[in-house]
Amino acid sequence: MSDNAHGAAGLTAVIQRGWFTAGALAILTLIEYVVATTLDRPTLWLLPFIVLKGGLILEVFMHSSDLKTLDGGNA
Amino acid sequence: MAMTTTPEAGHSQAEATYRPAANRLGLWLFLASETFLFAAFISSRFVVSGTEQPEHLNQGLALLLTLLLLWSSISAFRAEAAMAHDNRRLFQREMLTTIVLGLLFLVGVGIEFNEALTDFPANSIYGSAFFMLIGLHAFHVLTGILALGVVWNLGRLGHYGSDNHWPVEGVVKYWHFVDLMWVAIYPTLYLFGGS
Repeated sequence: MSDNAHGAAGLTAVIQRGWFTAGALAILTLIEYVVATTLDRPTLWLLPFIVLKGGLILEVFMHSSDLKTLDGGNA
Repeated sequence: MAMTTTPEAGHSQAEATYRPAANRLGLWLFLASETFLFAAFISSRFVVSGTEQPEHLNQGLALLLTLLLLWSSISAFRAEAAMAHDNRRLFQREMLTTIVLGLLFLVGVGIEFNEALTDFPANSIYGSAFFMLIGLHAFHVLTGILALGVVWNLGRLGHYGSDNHWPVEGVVKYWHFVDLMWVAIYPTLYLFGGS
């Protein structure tokens, strides 16, 4: 019973972190779009968005920090 | 009766224990090599046409495709988390959602290809970079969908669990990689040219 409860709570916590990340990515994408369509030469202004979004995907979704130990999983 | 372990059996056991780590390293190395491929195509866009872009790019559709792929990333993430916690029902639902969103993305790319072909020829300077880059990415989306389909089916048949879900983790990681590449491709083709 306690194992199941802990598993469900763990899953909820992981999924919540995923939603926060997806929300952040969506907001960054929309700001990126507004910056690009507003400015005349937006290239340099867009680079931080690419780095931020890529970093979020690598760290949260792809678990890149697991590369240190090669432990993995979405647990 | 005491059980003895032969050196061969011990080695096999150690190999089986080690395999997920080796698989992970192998996948990361594969993704690194893929990154070089995409980097070559992305840099070719800047070499041949700088940051210039045609006026008639469908910005709304490109933004929609970006959000679709982002949505598919969160559903893939949920599928992986569900299998890691033995929630098979959620796993199946989220994997199917990811596959459907991937297919919708491909439909959108098809529409974009059709529109783009009327606005600029594929053998123009920008056109060659545009169609090669989008085509390369779409091919990766297609292979990702196929891999997701295989893993979804095997998961449906009960092949994976919380202690054995490397294939789920691997295919989801590949899917996130496809999303990661789009994060660079989208501004490269649609946004760097400015308003």
